[in-house]
Order: sequence, then structure tokens, then C-alpha cells
Amino acid sequence: MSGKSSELALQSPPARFDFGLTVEQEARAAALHRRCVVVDLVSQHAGGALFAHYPEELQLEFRVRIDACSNDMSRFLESLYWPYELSKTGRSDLIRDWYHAAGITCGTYGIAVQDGRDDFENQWDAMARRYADLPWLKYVTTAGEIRQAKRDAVVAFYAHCQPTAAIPRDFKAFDTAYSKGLRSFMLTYNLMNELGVGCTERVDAGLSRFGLDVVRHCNEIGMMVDVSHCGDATTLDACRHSRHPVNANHTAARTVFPHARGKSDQGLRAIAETGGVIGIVAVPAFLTGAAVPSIEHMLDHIDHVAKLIGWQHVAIGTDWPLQAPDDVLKSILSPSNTVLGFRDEDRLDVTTRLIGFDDCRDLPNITRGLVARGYADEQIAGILGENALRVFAAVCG
Amino acid sequence: MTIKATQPPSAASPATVIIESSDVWDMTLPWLPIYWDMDILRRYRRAGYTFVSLTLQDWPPTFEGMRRTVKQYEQLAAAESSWLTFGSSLAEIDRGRLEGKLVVGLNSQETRVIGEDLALIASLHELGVRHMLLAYNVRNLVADGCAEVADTGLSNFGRQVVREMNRVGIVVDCSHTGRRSSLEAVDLSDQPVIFSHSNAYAICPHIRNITDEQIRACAARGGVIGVVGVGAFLGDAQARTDSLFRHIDHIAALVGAQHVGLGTDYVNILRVEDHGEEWKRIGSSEKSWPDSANAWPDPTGTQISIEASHCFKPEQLEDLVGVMMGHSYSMAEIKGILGGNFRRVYARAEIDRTASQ
Repeated sequence: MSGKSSELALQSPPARFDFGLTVEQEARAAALHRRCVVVDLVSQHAGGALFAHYPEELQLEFRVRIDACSNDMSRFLESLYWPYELSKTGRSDLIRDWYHAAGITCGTYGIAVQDGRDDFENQWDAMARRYADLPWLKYVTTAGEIRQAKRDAVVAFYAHCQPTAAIPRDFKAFDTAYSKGLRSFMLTYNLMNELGVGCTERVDAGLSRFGLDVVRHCNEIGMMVDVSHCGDATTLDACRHSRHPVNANHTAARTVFPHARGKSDQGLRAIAETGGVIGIVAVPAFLTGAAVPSIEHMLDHIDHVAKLIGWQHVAIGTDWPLQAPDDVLKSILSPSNTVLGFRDEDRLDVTTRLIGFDDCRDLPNITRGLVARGYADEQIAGILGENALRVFAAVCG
Repeated sequence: MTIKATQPPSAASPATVIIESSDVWDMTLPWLPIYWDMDILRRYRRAGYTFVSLTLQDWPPTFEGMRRTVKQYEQLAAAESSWLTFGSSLAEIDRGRLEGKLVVGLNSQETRVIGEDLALIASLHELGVRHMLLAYNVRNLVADGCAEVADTGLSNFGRQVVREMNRVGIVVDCSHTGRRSSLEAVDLSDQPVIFSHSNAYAICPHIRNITDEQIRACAARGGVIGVVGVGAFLGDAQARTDSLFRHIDHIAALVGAQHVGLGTDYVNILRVEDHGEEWKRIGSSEKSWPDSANAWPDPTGTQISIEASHCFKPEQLEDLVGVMMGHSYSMAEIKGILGGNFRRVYARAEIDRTASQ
């Protein structure tokens, strides 16, 4: 790790990706990115590179804290929230500065639909709540609040849920999570659960009866239904039965690159027919088999989805890179992959990043790439955030 | 019954003689705490049963809740030790029978008790559980339930669960489980798979009953099907003995009497009227619990409602043996149906467990 100060970090953003833009195009991209509401439907905070940019004494302190954690998941959780803790205690606003450099309007935090019996889930929820009162961060539940955050130049965060543990068969758990701010609920992770079947399961089937009830309940209370990790049949089933738009807020197009986490063209069309959006990930393994994955691969998926179902259904859901030092990521992801249902053939390498998307400060590269690929201003504004906001407003208000 | 009353007490009927000389097992007696009534177990003993497999769990099912429920039950049963005992191994079951006691064992009607923790399967065995349903009507992390339209197979985790149940010696039980999931479980399991309480769909088209394909698959691998006494599943709201026999006879004709047993599910119905409020509480707090609008779909439009059903009573056992005799079932066949067949499956699980250790 290097010992750069946060001031230095601000002065030296990561190398920008060379899209071969003209001076005018660069100016247009920069202005667009400044002007647009930029929504990352599944953000993973600032990215693991952040830690190397703290002053040396803070890096040492972070190491001490990490080493004091009793298990790998606690180390991961500590990595996610320590930068916010530094800001809360007035010791470093580096993460805020990175978000501002990213030009992000709205990102995400995860909470669980749970019955309060799982210690880890409780710990996770409590962590999220602790940073709700940072002056530069605002937890939001409506599209209007996201727009207001843009006007106020603060970062908006909305809560989503990716269920990796058992879901209580009790709507009260959903209502409780909703009251805590949850506005997007994904029906399954990679494996089969009580609601549906995930995308790396050996079987492929539609929603269960309870899953169907959950979709209807989400419709009723104003919660976005998400099918990102769901298998084909569950994806189609959710789209068939939901009265409101269904999203796949972090996925890819399987026609561009064959991966379980991508959606088939049929699935993409079904989502579009509900009025929902497809958030494209920045996860190399889901996008390409190329030896040197880059942001161009991410843009290839955006192009395909836009051509297939219209740019109005494209959004950003990077989900990458994860915010923890590489050694922490390696220690948690390898054992947890088995539990989470990632298989060897899914090639999920937690420390690989796209060239041109090293951390959140590379969000402007997406705008520049869209300009390079000939998208009009309205289309770019849609992909960066307006499309996601449309669904948010329709479902959550 | 009136005829019997005129006979001297010493002149036992041939049916009684068979019952008294047999292992008589009922593989399913739901025993949520709301049912606890020792008189029911006394009636089982009086009727000639030697072993009853109790469902002792909380709802929604959790491991800790199950352990707590078992401990509570043990305290309750301690006062009845002159005629009632607990037994999970065949040695314990046999000892209890020799002492003239009714032996009770344990089952679980859900794999949700283990959550995502395979290690809890061994803990369940330690607790005394010897057969476990993969799913109860609706989908869980392991399998689809019989009420699920999607009818999917075993999940990745479900396959691990079946293998671990094989290893520790808990018999895989596919009653209440979806068709495809049950067929996959039979195929995957190294040991015979049972349907502890399911009837023949060919006789009564109800989601809780199993098709001839499931019956054949189960039997081909040495499994046993326990016929269930619930009127709705018999296709006879009155739960007459002849109606139960029709299901026995269908399965016996299809795959042989050595694959038939009893799993009457008795208390389920007996007490439903007394505990209507409790059922409503369970139903409203838990979508998984069957209610007419959700988990008991009626695809054929012919199902009798559970609420309107009676259930085959312990006292009908003698009558049942008489009917089987009347239909020329051999002594060996009858003794097998009464308990010998399920005993064989238990023995196989014990042998395999010993061999693997």
C-alpha cells in the first residue's frame, strides 16, 4: 500500500480510459455527467482501492481493526463501513470525496428481510442505520428525494435486499424491512429459496406459491421486485405476475456473453414488457471471457440491451468492485461462494476489475463511453439515471 | 361390536391375535403441543399399537423449538412411564414392546428445522428423529412441496441434505413433498425412501396423494408407503375402514404388500374443531401453513375439505385387520403392513449407519 494523503488522491484520479473522444465530445460527456441524475442501482460503496489512499496512520489503524475481527464476514463488514465511520467521527472524508469525484447521485446499501433472529443480519442492519445522519449522505425512499439530493449536492442511498439467508414466511418481516427503508427486494440469490429458483441451481422452475404471494405483497406496499440472480423460469414468472415494473438491477446479457448471471433475450424482453429496467454490472466474470476485461465489455452489454428492448430499459448497477482490501475479499469470497452458489464455472474472481472501472470514481467513464458509442443526450440521461428513476417513481413514489 | 360384547373376554378374535403378535407401527401422529393429550396415546396402546412416530416440533419449525418441545414432552411422559416409553433405535423399540409399553419415536415434518446447517441433521438424529419430510406442502430450501404448481426438483442443498440423512441414518420421507422432488430423492438416496403418510392418487385425486409412478419408484428401491387415515385423502369423509383398505389394496396390487404400512395422521383431524383458533393463528402468521385459498389447491375440483373429514381411529385397527383377512391377505402380508415393513426400513438405516462408522 502507498501512503498518499486524501488531498493527493483527489488530485490524482485513476487513469481515464481512452475512448478516443474529441475535445468537444469530452466536454459534452463531462457536462452531461455533471447535469444528469446518476443512479447506481447496486453500488458497492467506493471500491477496494479506497484503502490505499488513506494516510498511513489510518491504514495501520484499519489493519488493526480488521485483524481484531473474529471472522471473515465481520472483516468484510468492517471494510464496508469503516470509511463512513471515519467521516462520522470527523477524521477523514475521503469516501465522500470519492463519491463526489464519481458524480454519483444515488447509490445503495443492503438490508435484510429477516425476523431478527440472525445476529449477522442484525449487525448489518445496525451498521447501515449508524450512518444515516452523515451530513453529505441521505437515505432515500422516493424518486423525489433522489432528485432533491441532486439539487442539494448530497449522495442519496436507497436500501435493497439480496436474500442470501432464509426468508421468513411472514409478510410482517417485509413490512418491517419496508419501514426501515427497503425499496427493492430480489426474489432469490443464486440458489433455490422459499420463493423461487436462482440462476446457478441445478433445477429451473417458476415461483413458489409463497413467492407469488411475495410478488403481490411487494406490489401492494410499493416495493420494487428484482430478479437479478433469479433463474430463467422464476424471472419470467415474476414478470408475468407482477402488476408493477420488475427490474434486474445488476445483470448482463447472455447473448453477448454466456454466463448464468446474465439474462436471456427472452428474459430481457419480459422485463421490458413490465416497464422495468436492466442494470448492467461492472463485474468482469459476468461480462466477458476476455483475458483483459475492460469497460468496453460493459458497454457491449448496454448496446445489446438497448438495441433489443430500447434504451429506456437500460440502467447501471455496477455491483463492483467490492469495497475491501484484496486479501479480505479473497478470504471471504472463496468459502462463501459455496454457500452463495457461485460455481467454479462461474469464474467469479473477486479481485479482478474492469480496465476503466477500478473504483467509483470511474463512473464518468460510462458517460464518456456512451458518448463514444453515439448515444444521444436524452438516451445517456436515461441510462445514467432517468430510466431507473421512472421505475422508482412508478413503484415507490 | 355388538357381536363381540356377547363373546367371553377370553375368546380373542383372529384379528386380535394377529395384532397382539405383531409390531404395529403408526408412522405419523402429529403432536404439536396443542394436541397433547395422553389419552390419545392410551387409546393407541389399547388398540394394539406398539410404536407411534410423533411429530414433535414447534411451528414455524426451528431446531431449538423442536428440542424444547421434545424436552417438554419428556417431562409430561415421565409420569406415564409404567406404560409409555421413548425409543428411536430398534433395540429400544423392541425392549419397549417386550415390556408391554407403547413406544414413541420422533419425526420431523419439515427440513426447515435445520435451516441451512447440514450439521443439524446429525443433531436431529441425536435427539431421536428417525424420519424427516423434505418439504411440507410448499417450497423450502430443499425441495418443492406437493402444493406447488411449479413442481421443481431437489435443490443443490436438497441433494446434500438427502446424502447427509443417508449418512446419519434418518430415513428420507417424501410425504407432503412435490412429485418431481420426491422422485429425485428416491433416485438419489442410497437407502429406501418412505412416504410415511400418503394415499394413492389413482383412488383419490388429491394433491397430498401420490401417483402410481411415485409408488413404483418408492417400492423399486425398497421403500414403504404408509396409508393415511384423513378422510380428505381417502376420498371418504367418514374415513371408513374399507376406504383405507382400498388404498392399501391398490398399492399392494401395484407393487406388493411388502411396501405398505400405516401412517394414519390421526390427531390432525380429531382436534381441529377444538383448536380452530390455534389453526387460524398458525395460518395467518405463516403463509406456508395450508389454507383453502393458498396451499391446498384443488386441481381436480373433487377434493373433500379437511375440515369436513373424519379420520381413521386407532380403534378401527382390529376392523382393518379383519378386512385384510377377508381379502385373503396372508399372515405375513398383514404383519408387514401393520409394522414389519417400516421396521425393515429402520433396520436398513441402522445397518448402513453402523457400516459407515
